[in-house]
Amino acid sequence: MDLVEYCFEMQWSDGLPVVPPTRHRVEEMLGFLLDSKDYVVATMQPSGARATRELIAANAVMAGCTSAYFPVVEAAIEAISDPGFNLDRVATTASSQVPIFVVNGPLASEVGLEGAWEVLSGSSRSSATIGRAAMLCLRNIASHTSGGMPHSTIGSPMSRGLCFTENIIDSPWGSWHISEGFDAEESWVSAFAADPPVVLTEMGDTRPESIVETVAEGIALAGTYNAFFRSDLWLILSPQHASVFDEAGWNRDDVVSALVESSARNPQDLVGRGLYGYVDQLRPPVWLEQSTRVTMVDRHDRVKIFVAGGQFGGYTAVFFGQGETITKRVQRVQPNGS
Amino acid sequence: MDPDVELVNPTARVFSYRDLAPRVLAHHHSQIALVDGTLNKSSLWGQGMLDAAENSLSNRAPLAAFRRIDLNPLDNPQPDLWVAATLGGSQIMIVAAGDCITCTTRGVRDAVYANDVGILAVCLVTGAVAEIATAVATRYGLPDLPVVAIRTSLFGKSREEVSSTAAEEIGSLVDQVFI
Repeated sequence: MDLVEYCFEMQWSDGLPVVPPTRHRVEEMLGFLLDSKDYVVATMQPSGARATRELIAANAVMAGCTSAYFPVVEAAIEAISDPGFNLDRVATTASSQVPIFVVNGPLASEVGLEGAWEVLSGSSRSSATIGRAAMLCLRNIASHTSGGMPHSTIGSPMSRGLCFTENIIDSPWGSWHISEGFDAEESWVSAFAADPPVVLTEMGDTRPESIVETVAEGIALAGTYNAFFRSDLWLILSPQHASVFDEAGWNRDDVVSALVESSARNPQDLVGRGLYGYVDQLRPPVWLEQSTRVTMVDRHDRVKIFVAGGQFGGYTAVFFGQGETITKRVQRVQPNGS
Repeated sequence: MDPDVELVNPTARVFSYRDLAPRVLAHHHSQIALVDGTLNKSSLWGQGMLDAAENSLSNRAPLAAFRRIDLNPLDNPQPDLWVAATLGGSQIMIVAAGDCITCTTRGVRDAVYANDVGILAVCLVTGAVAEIATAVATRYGLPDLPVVAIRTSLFGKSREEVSSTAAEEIGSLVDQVFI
């Protein structure tokens, strides 16, 4: 039987053809790490299965990765397996959140990740395959059932992976990771369980206040998980939007503060809507009753602002989601396999 | 084998096979824990499913004592902690997971753990997720885990309506837990 067809038959695929994980290809993927192929990188929930280097490499081969991407894939698996990410819930939710990844640091450009035009399109090999490798691991290692476990009522167009980097060249603020204090000499992967993005435009009025108002209207939706759980929120500002803020003297924190305040809602707008009224008894919203205004995040540092996309165009992408952002360092592989 | 043809299996291995905990004598003074593991507590769906289970089991085992336990799935309580802390003395655990896959997979996980410590466990789910419940149990090495499926969907139903629906389909429960 043709090996690609065999992978379909074994339900190893995400619906697209995969590169058959032959022993030869998996060993090439592992490279200097071959001697440590049984090393357990993470325990993946909800299955509780141990994700060894060899298993991750087999899925990376299937996704179409090169061995240069493997350290990034491994760090991505570490990130989503961190207890703080709550993969157990992400992998079983009826909602549409899936793990997405942003990579910054030297390796991001070395492996050719996209940060400018078509940043979310996955058009380059690394952008298309690193996230896919992580999602195949979710399907083949973390899932309880072979062929993945159908759990999401609507599903997500990002279920075959999304991985991007920032447009550092056109960003007025440098990389998000450096702004958060991560070592600029190292490479970092951050993961978030995100819904498909809502892309908002504001080009009619180029004052920063107008962009804030437009984006805040998009954030302040009662029907999102964020409105109830008030967890992390990722925003991708196009360089043009970021420049408007920068030229007016705003930094990332200023934008976050303005957005959090402008997207706050009257508590009466939320009662009995979205998840309010569904799981209230588990999280009695005392704070809701006591508040005069409800912000969509419980802390300002929940909002992560990345600058990415092509040089011009006034767009901001909003990723609602659940849980928190988890960041892991990408471990460069030495010739001795360490 | 030729390394250009031999494939590395990219899937994780399943757990080793587990034996099912023994069934309980119906005429004993058994303790039965009725666990509401549903997310949507406001609807009382889990309580409705457990009402039907309690009625069915008490008819067969009039000496049995029942205890209700509420779990908060949002906190993802780990079974090695909550089972030991709350199920001491119980011989049977009935966990209602409802319509939700998060609740179902956790319910099955908890049932497998209870089974491991000698408590016969049964999962109450809906038809929409029954296949997943069995698949998850199989993955944990307990393919024989009793799973009772209630007709889908629960949406919009009251506690009484859920109980009534469950009562029609819960007959097999008694034979799965009692001798």
